[in-house]
Amino acid sequence: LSRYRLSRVGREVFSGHLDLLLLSALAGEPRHGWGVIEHVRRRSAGRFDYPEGTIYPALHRLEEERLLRSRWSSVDGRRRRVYELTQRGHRALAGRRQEWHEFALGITAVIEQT
Amino acid sequence: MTTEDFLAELAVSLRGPRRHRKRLIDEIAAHIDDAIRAELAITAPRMEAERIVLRRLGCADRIARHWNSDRRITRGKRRRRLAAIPLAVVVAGALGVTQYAAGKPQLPRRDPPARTTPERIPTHSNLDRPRSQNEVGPSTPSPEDRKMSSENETTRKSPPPDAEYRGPVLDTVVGVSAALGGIKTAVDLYGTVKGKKEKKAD
Repeated sequence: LSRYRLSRVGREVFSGHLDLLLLSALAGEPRHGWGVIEHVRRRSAGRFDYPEGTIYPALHRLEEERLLRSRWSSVDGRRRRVYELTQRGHRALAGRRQEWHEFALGITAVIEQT
Repeated sequence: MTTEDFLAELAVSLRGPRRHRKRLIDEIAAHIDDAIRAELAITAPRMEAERIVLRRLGCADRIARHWNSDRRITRGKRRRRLAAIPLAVVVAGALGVTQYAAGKPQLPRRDPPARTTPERIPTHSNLDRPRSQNEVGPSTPSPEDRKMSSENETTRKSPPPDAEYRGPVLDTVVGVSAALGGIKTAVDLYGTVKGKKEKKAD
């Protein structure tokens, strides 16, 4: 039961910050869905437990919000949808990074006091 | 479950425009393809690699729920944005019409002119001719007539526009501002209620 609960909490925390993670993963260079997932897994050393398929609806939503744009591209002879940040996406990422740092500072200050 | 079964199950559960659904299916198919290649490069045989990849991907129903929920939210936002356009046009039109009506100079009421005997147009013949006693009406206005005429001119002048139009224009601006505020509140309230309903449904 405790294992189940830990897993649930992990997923909720992850999905709460999914947009920030996706925008950050695409900040350096354009990537396709699988590339984004691999980048997040590598950078986080596999700490996140989440169903990978839920990344795609989130990518589409961010594109609808004009934070991303995408195009079909050929990668090793295979057709892949490649995503990249728009100017608006870069601005949104900067704002969300700032929010996250403020949030983390606040949490750290509280939990390290006890 | 095979990749084909998974994609078929996903396709059935998705909502929204066909073009968007097809794109999502194509992307997930490409993801499965990439992930299986990566797994095969490590150890697993094809069947085992496919099973691992599909497990990591999550169940089709869960992906569809995320997709459908996001579609509902973006569709709601788009509808509200579209609904605001005709509303803004109507309000702007009403504002324009009201301001035009308020700013249009109102013509002063004029009484029909009193019937007077037309003056005689001087001609060479009647200028030279001495005026007889029977002729009606003076040929030149007397000083009293001139005074009355100037008074009439003064009363006929329209009042300065500022004094006349300031009230209605201000009233219009205040009324339209209040109407816009009311509309914005209603739209926000509608969005909040709808968002809560969608959260409950999820």
